[in-house]
Amino acid sequence: MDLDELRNSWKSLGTDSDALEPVNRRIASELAKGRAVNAQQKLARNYSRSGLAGIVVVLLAPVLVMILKLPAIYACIYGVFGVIMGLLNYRFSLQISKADYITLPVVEAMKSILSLRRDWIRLHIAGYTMGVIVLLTLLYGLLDLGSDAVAGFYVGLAASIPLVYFKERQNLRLIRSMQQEIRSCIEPDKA
Amino acid sequence: MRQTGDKEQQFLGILDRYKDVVSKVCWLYAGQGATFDDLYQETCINIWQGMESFRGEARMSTWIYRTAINTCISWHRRNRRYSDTSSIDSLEFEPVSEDKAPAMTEEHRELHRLISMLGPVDKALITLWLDEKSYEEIALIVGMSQANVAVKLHRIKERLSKLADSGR
Repeated sequence: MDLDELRNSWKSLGTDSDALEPVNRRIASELAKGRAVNAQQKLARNYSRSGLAGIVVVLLAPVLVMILKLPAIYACIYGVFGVIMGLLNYRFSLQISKADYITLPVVEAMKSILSLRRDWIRLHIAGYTMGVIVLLTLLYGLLDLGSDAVAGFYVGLAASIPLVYFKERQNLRLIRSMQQEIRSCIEPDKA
Repeated sequence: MRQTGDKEQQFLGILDRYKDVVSKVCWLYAGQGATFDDLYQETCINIWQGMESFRGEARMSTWIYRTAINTCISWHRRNRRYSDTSSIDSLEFEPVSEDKAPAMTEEHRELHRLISMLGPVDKALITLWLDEKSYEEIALIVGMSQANVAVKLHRIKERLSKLADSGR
């Protein structure tokens, strides 16, 4: 198949209007009723919910004192962690909902998504850093509670490390491939 | 309420006018984890969302192409089906089978197979070339200089020719 044949093949590709019309009507009706949302809105909602999860962390902080009988300072550290993560996630959800990566020119849209992805990584790094500090502090407190609590802590930690590692490695690979793609559009001679 | 009804009619008018563009772009990006239906629906939602912000600065067709292409690229990125666009072997061709997608002959399947081997932006460029858009319009839609569009398209065409030859 040469390029002319390719183009002719493309031109002969026909749309089945009869099949698409009811689909269009259904989508229009759902959208008019506010029932359909796009992926960007779903993602923004997810981060908004993660922001709410920060409140749950704050509400759970007193449990450390009341049930586990840890000193109040642990509850404070845990609560502050919840507030900061909640606010960061909520801020990120606003950033996603305001971003326009659909109607911009393709390369600009990719840059916009790349910038969001970088902020996303920063959010994760902030979360992991604070999470590790909170966990180590909690571990220090749990040492007094006996070996079962400490063992449970280590099991949780061991299970989450590989998950975090693979997830973040995937994210970084994706960012690198996007950077490469953008570079190849701006400087095709160097790509 | 009436405003919503007007918007609905306007939206249906846009879809009716540009159904070929939207469905063909979605068809080309379908496969590799995304179905035609998924992409078509998502593109329609994005057209609806963007209608209010469309101020006529760009041509309507330019805006529709951008919306459809960005939606499809974004969908694939989210599903992480292409992390290495340089490796042809890493891409698997999944035929489009939805009944609402454009009807396919053997030639169309071959067209889809060849273009599926390209990276997301290259796929967008060749789609616009296939639709006989000028370099100026392609540059506006993709956001590249006309010179870069020419360089990239030249390479894509060379690559497609080689791929087509190797498939014979």
